[in-house]
Amino acid sequence: MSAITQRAAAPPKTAVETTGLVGTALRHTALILLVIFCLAPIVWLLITAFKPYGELFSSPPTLLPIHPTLVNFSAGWSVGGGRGIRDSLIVATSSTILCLILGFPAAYALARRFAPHGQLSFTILSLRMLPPIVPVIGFYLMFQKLGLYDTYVGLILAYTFMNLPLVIWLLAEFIRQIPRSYEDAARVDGAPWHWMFRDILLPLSAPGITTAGILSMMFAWNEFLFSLVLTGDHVITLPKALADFFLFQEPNWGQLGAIGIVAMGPLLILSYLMQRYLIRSFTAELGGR
Amino acid sequence: MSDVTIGYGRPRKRGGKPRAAKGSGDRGTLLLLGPALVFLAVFAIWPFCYLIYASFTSYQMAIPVPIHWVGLGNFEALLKTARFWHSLAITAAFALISVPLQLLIGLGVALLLNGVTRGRELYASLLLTPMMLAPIVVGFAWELFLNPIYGPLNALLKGMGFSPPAWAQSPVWALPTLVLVDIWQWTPLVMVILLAGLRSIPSRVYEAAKVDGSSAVQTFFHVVTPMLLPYFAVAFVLRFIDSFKVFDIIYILTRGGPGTITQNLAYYTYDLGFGRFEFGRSGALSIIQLILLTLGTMLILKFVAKRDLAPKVTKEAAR
Repeated sequence: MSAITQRAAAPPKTAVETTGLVGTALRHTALILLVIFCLAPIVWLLITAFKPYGELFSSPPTLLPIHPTLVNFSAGWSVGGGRGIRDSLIVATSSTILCLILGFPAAYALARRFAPHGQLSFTILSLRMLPPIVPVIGFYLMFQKLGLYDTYVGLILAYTFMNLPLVIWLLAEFIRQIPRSYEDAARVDGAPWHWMFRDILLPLSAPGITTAGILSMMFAWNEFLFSLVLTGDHVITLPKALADFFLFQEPNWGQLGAIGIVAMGPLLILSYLMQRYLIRSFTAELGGR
Repeated sequence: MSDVTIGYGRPRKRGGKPRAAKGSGDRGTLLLLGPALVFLAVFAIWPFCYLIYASFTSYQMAIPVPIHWVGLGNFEALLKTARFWHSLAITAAFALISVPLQLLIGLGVALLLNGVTRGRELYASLLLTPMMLAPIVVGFAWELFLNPIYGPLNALLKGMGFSPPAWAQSPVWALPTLVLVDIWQWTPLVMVILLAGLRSIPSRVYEAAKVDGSSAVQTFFHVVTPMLLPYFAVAFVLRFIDSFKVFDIIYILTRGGPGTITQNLAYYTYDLGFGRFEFGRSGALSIIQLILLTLGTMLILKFVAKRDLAPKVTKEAAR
């Protein structure tokens, strides 16, 4: 249809069209250059992780490791990487579980029962807009008072506070898309409410729960300021382990690179798999109505 | 049967639809919503009260002197120091230089991507990589990349006959380096929002413009730009709010230095509170930031953003 219209009207060719093949080639070249720019620092980190000690400090640097080695990974693991991964796993997993336990019922209430939810969910989400530096002093003083400073529980609670608004919002969006009639049918059949939750709502919202859970894990995994301020020597998350390693000793770039790769590898794979949800959550702040 | 409103809006109207579940009406809603709300309220209000309290006192951890009330003294002292104004300027630089550049570059890349048919998804995925990474990892990947001695960039530039600066360590280049890293990490977000906008414009619109004899440039400025405006607004607000948060990359790349050159408000707050344990001063600075951010966001939302369009943008961007 459109082809016919075009031929009939014989419009003057636009600049975009006249460039044709050359234009396409130019576009692809530009995009490839952009991709290189986007990946270069990461790739360099990857390369460095495989360089033996001697090659780390050669100037000018060698492009590829001449004698590639895995020694940085084991060394990086023992100088703090392993500890960081353990603590980050503990904190991120626990806070995610807490987020889901608190968030799912709240999301359900916002999605189904509570009519002026727009304003309330906007208020909840706006908590997420705060730069973490603003609440962090209050957090620090509160944690000192409660004995939560430098504890797993403290950091878990802080990350739950950070991620809960987003989890509620995402889950509410998901639940809103489940047809109401399923629940109504269960109710008509006289099923008690918790059966309805267990047998209908939870299985149907499993993809949403997974998404919200993984995102909450990722944000907790990447977070730095809270863990820098709210913990000392007892709890050392991965970003903090990296920063400590980097700032308080002559950095061994290879080990740093190795920890960095381990820190971001799983997340990168996950984020490629869940890109659309990730973008959704990044833009969620403004969608809270 | 009245509805629970928890202080927001009007009670819900029931469209005459009978509810089968009796016991899960209002009390049920409260039970479901309650724990999360209580949790959020406790963690929002309690620290906030501490913050307010600290900002009006001489709260210092290092000095074992009794804490006393200083009223607005902390605010007054802050407003008198050059460092405060400097850190405000650095924050403004991020908001006014980095964010518009991200919008411009993001638009360019989105147009490029929209112009190719093959491999668009793959390009988009790869270009989104930077924003998926932990800012700390980004910080030291760049530290390594820009390292004046062992880094590849300066080796390359030297090879080409330039004498490159020491980037993050240089008084002149430290701030531009941070801006560059911020742009590198967050332009992908802008790109993906604007690409969603571009993709939401039906091809009919372009065809109609073409039939009317409008050139590509005219079409862009008179047809595409107005339709992209809400997407621009969303990207701008998000990045503007985030520009106040810049901390991690400063911490890793420059530690606010050389000297105090690259300290923005967030870093200055951290330095006051946890570098020198001047919680009173630091708390006052937090409150100033909160006020600035709220005012700025309200102004922008009022003049630029049409919030009703935001859910649409969110959905398009997720596609």
